[in-house]
Amino acid sequence: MALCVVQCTSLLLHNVLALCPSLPAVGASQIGKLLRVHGQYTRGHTSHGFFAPQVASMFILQLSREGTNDTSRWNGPALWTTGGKTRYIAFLNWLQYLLPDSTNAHTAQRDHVQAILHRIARTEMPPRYGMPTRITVYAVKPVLLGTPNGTGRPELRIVHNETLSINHTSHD
Amino acid sequence: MTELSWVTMLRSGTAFVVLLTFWESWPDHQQLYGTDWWPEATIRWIDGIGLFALYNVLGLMLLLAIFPRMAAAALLILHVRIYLDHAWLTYGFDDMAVMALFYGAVTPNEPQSRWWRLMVQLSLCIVYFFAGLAKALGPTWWTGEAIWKASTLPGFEGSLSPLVHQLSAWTALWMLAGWLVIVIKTFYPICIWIPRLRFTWFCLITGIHLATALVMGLYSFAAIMLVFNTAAFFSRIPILHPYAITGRFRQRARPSHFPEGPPNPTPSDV
Repeated sequence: MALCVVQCTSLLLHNVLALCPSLPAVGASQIGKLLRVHGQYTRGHTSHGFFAPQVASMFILQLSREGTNDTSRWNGPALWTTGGKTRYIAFLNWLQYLLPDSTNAHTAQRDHVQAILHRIARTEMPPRYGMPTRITVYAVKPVLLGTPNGTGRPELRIVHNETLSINHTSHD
Repeated sequence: MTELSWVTMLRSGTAFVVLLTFWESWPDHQQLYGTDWWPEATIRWIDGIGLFALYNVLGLMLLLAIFPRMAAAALLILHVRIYLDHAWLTYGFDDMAVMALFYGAVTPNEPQSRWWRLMVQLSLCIVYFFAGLAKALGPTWWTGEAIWKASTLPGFEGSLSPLVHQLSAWTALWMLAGWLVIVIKTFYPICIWIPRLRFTWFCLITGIHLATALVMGLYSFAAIMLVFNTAAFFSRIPILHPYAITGRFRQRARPSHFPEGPPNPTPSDV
């Protein structure tokens, strides 16, 4: 019975807090700390907004490097399975923190995402002398509801663009 | 045993789904988790064939009910270390799978108290209620925009995706679908407890999850939610275990004051 009460309370509290971020954080209290530890292995700390509360845009990550004769491009890992693709898309959802209208509260996430983009670029398409790697993130704007079939196409909008050279990074 | 117990259903069903998901995505495992993309240290103490073998052994133990509580606990830790320590590649399936494994690990093999099952049932009610409420608080699910967007985002493709793309002009249909999703999820915690509505609501929520699988390609997520729902509310339906039908009739034929059947006559009675 005690476990039932703790688990359900943990789920309830985290869902309420996810819906009302202005409420004082439960995490500040001792109870909150206990709940957090408990939630780590029970997913009691999951707020179920992940059931697509307000659907986010889809993002595309592209790396490119201009050579002397041609341009090399990387549009994502070569994944074979549905599960693998879903997990990669889950990562792409984090790129929403790069959107210009992302609030200051998300600065930490934005820095974290940028650090990962740099690591991906250095792993998949490392810059060379005189040949920097360009990191571009596109947001996909889907076809609007009500558009007659076959007349609309998804639009791409650049939300992040930076150049990674061997020694430094510059934002465009 | 004439009926499949709910805890067996939860454990074996979860094991079946997580094993299938693991096998399906294994060819891409190294590509996603074995790279230097991530700043956090990934699970390095076991990798490659060792990880594959350990996950399979634990999953099969849970599926076949061999030391099921220990298997569920070990699989829970392994799943968290592989997938959830990597928040970047996590999605709803992992959260629900870990929750199911946790319940499978803590619940006794033959639970005497109804609190164990109530914990699973209430968790589902909370999950669905807040999922519905979060949708209802924004305007896009009411207009149908959100469900249209979710169904047509590139990258989420299921078997029915080509058909869905042809329905873009049917705005009323998408609006109705959005309303239905909100109503079914928000009122789940009420309707699932009303005996007359329970099966109907179970079918409706199953319909949502099947649609998610076929339209968005989220097969694993749909499967784990169906396991959860079935174990929480419907593991005692006869269709899951044919012998349950005969068991039920036999139980009804007994006099109510002899729940275990009539006592054997003693010599003094004779």
